[in-house]
Amino acid sequence: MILFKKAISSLLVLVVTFGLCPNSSDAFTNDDLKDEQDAQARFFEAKVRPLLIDSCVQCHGDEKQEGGLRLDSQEAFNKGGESGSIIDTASIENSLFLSAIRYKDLEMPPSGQLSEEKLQILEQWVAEGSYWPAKTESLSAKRKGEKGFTDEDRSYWFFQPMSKHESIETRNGSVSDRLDSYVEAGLASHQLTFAEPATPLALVRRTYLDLVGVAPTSAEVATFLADPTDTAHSNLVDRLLDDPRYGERWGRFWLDLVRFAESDGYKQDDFRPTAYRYRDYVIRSFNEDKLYRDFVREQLAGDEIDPESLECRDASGYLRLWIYEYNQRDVTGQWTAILNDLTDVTGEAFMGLGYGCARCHDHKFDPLLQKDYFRLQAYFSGLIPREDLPAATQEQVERNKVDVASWEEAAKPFLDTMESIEAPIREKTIQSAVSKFPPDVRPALLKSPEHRNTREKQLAHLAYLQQLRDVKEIKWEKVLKGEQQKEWVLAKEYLKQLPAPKPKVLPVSLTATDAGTEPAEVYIPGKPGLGPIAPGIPSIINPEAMPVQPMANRNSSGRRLALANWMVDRENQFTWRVMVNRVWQQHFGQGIVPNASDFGRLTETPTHPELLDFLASNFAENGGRMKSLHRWILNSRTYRQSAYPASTTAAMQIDPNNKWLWRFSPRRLDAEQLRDSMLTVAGELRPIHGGVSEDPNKPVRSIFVRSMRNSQDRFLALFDAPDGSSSTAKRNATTTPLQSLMMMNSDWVNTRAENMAKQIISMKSTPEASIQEAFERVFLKSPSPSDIESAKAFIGVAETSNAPGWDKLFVDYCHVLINSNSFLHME
Amino acid sequence: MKAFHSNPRGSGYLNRRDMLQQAGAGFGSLALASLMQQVGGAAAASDGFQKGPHHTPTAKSVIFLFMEGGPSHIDLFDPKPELEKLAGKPLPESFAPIITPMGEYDAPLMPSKRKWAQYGESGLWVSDWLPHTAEHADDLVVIRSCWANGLNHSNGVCQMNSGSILGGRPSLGSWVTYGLGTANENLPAFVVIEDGDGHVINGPRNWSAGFMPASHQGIALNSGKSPIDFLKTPDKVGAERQAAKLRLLNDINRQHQAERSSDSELEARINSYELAFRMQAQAPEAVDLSQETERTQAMYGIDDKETASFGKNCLLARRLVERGVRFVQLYHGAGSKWDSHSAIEKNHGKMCLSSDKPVAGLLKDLKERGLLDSTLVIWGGEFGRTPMSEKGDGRDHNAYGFTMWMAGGGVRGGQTIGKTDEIGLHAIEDRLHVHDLHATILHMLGVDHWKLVYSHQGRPERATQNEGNVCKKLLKNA
Repeated sequence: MILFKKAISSLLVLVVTFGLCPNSSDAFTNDDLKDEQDAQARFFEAKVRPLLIDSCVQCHGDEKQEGGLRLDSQEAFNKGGESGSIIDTASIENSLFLSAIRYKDLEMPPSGQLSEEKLQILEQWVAEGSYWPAKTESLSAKRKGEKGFTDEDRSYWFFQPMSKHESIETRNGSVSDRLDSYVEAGLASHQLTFAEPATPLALVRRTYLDLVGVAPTSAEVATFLADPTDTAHSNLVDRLLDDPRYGERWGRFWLDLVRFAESDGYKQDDFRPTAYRYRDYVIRSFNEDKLYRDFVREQLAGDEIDPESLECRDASGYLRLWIYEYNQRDVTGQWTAILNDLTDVTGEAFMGLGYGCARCHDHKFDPLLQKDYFRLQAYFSGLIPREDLPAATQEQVERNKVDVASWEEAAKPFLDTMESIEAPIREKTIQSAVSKFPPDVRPALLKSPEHRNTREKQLAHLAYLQQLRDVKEIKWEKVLKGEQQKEWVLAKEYLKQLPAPKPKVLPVSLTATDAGTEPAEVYIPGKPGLGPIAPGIPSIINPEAMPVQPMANRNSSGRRLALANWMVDRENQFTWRVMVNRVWQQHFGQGIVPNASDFGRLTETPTHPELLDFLASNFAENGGRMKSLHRWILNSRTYRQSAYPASTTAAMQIDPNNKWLWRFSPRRLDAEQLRDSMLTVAGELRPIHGGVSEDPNKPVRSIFVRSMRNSQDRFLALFDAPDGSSSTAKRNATTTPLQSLMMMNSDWVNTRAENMAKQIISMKSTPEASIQEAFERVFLKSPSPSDIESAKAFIGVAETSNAPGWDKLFVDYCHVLINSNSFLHME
Repeated sequence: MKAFHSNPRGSGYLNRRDMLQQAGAGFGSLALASLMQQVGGAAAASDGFQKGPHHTPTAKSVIFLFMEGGPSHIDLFDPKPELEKLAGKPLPESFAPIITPMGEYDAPLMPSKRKWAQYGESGLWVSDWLPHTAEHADDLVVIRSCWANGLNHSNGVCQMNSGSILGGRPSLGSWVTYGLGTANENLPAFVVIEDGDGHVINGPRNWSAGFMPASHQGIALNSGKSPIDFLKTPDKVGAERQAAKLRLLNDINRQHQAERSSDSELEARINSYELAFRMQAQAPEAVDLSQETERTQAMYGIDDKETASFGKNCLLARRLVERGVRFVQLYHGAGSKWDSHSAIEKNHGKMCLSSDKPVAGLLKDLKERGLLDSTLVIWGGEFGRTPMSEKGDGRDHNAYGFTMWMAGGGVRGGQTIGKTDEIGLHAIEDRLHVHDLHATILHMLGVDHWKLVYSHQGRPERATQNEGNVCKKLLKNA
């Protein structure tokens, strides 16, 4: 009877503590508890099983098998591990199992020795013959049961479908009206109201900075102010959305997000000469109002959509934006880092999920499993960087082929001579390069390419880039001796004297494709027992693997296209919400969801969930037309509010952060807006719209400035432009004395002031007209008499604006203006 | 889960506004410290996370002497007599092989050519390459069991600075300024000084604030008239004119501000100009070494051309911590000059000569001025070197086991911590990963690496990437 009572209480403990389901196969009933064996069963269930699950199975179960040992079933326990049997039946006391938990030989578990009580339990269990119930499921299965998703997980708003809204109406105005009504409802519930409309001057400057990224010129302001109609602002919005500068502004936030830069990073930080093509693709896509649906698909799977299309090839530059170092012998480690980086950025940028948190363990706050991380990675596991696809049109390629062929025909004898001399030395160089890679990588490098599997191809490719470098660095004039040298030099000389010059090598796209139809297998590090991992979306939405048909006609796995197609499904609950929120954040300074790249539980809940779904479902409806989204937002009352309403005291108390949008949030210009606006007022901005990047000292828009990861432009960096190391969803906006020092003392800013002054003086002959012009360029309004007076007091008086002395002081005046708060901020 | 809320304009903005409103119109009294961090997105106390200090610090400042390129632990602090026996032999199979970046996989083992002796009451082993440092043996904690993940310079230097081999995370100095602010509002809180003409691998990315606001980044300092970039008023403008410009700017800004009085951002910008020019006045004084006596200069070896360059930087570091700078990082051999794949005798001989006396001088000077107790001095590179030779007379990188030392700032000097194996290849006892080192450094500054959280994209980020343990053995009072 006593025994029985004990058993029942143990059972209760068991149920409570470990969530053992009484109906499961290994549960036991009163009938089972009747003899000696049952006492052992009870002991096992109550004491031993939890201990093994808690302290052993994590490293000795189905996920990991440290030392080749599993402790999650009787069979495995009896089998032992790499060191053989863990129970010495001849002398139980000397069993490896016991000496390990006693910290005599091995120290198990390594996290700290078991308590005396726990040791006794296991000692007793082993001494009594290590009893396992005959009918029991693996202890590993029990562990996993604990990781199930809760109802709370399943009902989290971001995993729900977007709420249904009536379909988009034909008149844009109505969408803006609906938008306003959602915002107004939020305001009302917090005893707030809309602010009065912004002044026309504030509104036009705001709209220019927002849509095209530079402050307007005074002429542009005048045009706007001269339009008295109700549609003046919406006309302006239309005009600016058609302006090529729009893409140069709006492409930028996407480039932040995908950590775009034009150099390798790491030590060497080599320049990537054709990286600009991806940047131009992004700018072009915004300007052409490419559907977001296509924008997503082309970046993730341009090669699978159309391998011949240069547009798609440029788009797939997305797959090559990772930092990289050619001089890295640990190619395995580097390839892992590359895939991890690509996985993290894809999860954040396109899906708004913090996948990175799930790389090493299940996400601590969100229902994202570690397995989900590798399910996402599996979409990219077939990838291979390409160094052989020209960044040229089909026509250019064909023409080049003809040119090369005709040149090679003329050059053949000399090329053959050189080749026969170079080939053996090159071969030797490559062999020596191969020997420097870790022993476990070398076999893959020694295989002939057609025998390599995808994984081996990927590693070999990284190694190949190093071998290539070694070969390129051979100094033939020095390496070759005697006759060979003479022959080689002579052949080279002949080549130079051929009637037609050697055709230029076509630039190479920075892009990637799959290595073939069969992707590399993906395993969770340290958990080979779970692999290989098939591609799939977050398990909470669908735990099954995504069925993907290899694309034989593309020699590709088809996985990335499958992922992209899933993302841009009209019903997808992530894609549209995330993008709409990003655009909203760009316009208003803060998103409806505050963390634009992680909508998980770590962010605050949306301020306006219905508005978010309303905009997102309408955006999804037409495949993601960006310019429509801008119009809905910019034509709203919400957007056109004043930043400085007459009465703010109450609102400041209720909502100091302007979460509910009772005014337009004023803000500092970001790095590019500021730099580009300075070039504009100096009258020197050179209007280029793409192509090879320029030196930071050139007067071109900041987006066209060469962006090197290790030597970022100082001006842009100090004003918080990201350096391209990792995805940036929202920039910081700092105010520091170092910025002030740079604004006052740097050559770059001083030169802008000089050029501005010089240009104005050449146009305006009188000091007063010069002052007026400078004032209007910066403040976009006429100076008041007192503004003129204080300027004169500062500069002094002169007959003409080019009078010696006056012109210099006028530079200082211009310099002060471009340092002013009015210029540095938008409202 | 509101606890981790971080709108970059969010909490910092609010707190600042509150403060400003409470302070009425007293903007002029705003410290640079708060300005530098005002839009930090920092988790404020109300978010459930406390910025530092979390406990009583034993160090106020850090001077990190970064021997860039990887000094050889087995030729400096970790003698390996066993290597004598194995000289010229291949790596015995009992040692797990490592990846050597230069890939000389069958290179034979090479013993150290150094003469070794024990120093001080503690009897610390130091080789004859560092005779001056050896005199401070009883102040040093020599950690022989450091390990890291970066196999090459770029990865290694990046990790020693930021905890990660990949770029994008804030440097340790940024975490310190984020957690503790500055003690001198007129100087940057985190200063970096490169030596000679060299530039550290990865460039300024090493002292970048990563995902934190740019205000937490390290500021490169040099010892000229313009110690900080853009500090000097252009000659063609001149001081008088500059002052007039600032007056006009202030007038224009005040007029603009009058209609926008609720905006503390605008006010902050006005103040930033004021503070910039206080910095302009004070920074040159801080780096003016002519104020130091001949005796002091000699202590650092400034009177000797071999040691003058790094000596000046070490003295500069002392002047900066004296003035409240939190985190000073001195690179010695900037541009991987400690890297000695061949001819290690020549390379290390030279590098030790140019750094030993300045480093010893710094320890001595700090001690004499009573600053050593509050200043944590750290010495080390991004990794150590292999017991196997390379190219016959050099050594390859070894991140699997290497030595760093610390002094002052609350460490218990005169002890050795940890062990490498018999040949110095792997750290085997009391292994200290870079994250452990960082956790320990932060601990001495009064910062609990678990509590110091920066909320990035809504996620709680920590300096040690949620890893690392404080090594208590290092500490005086543990």
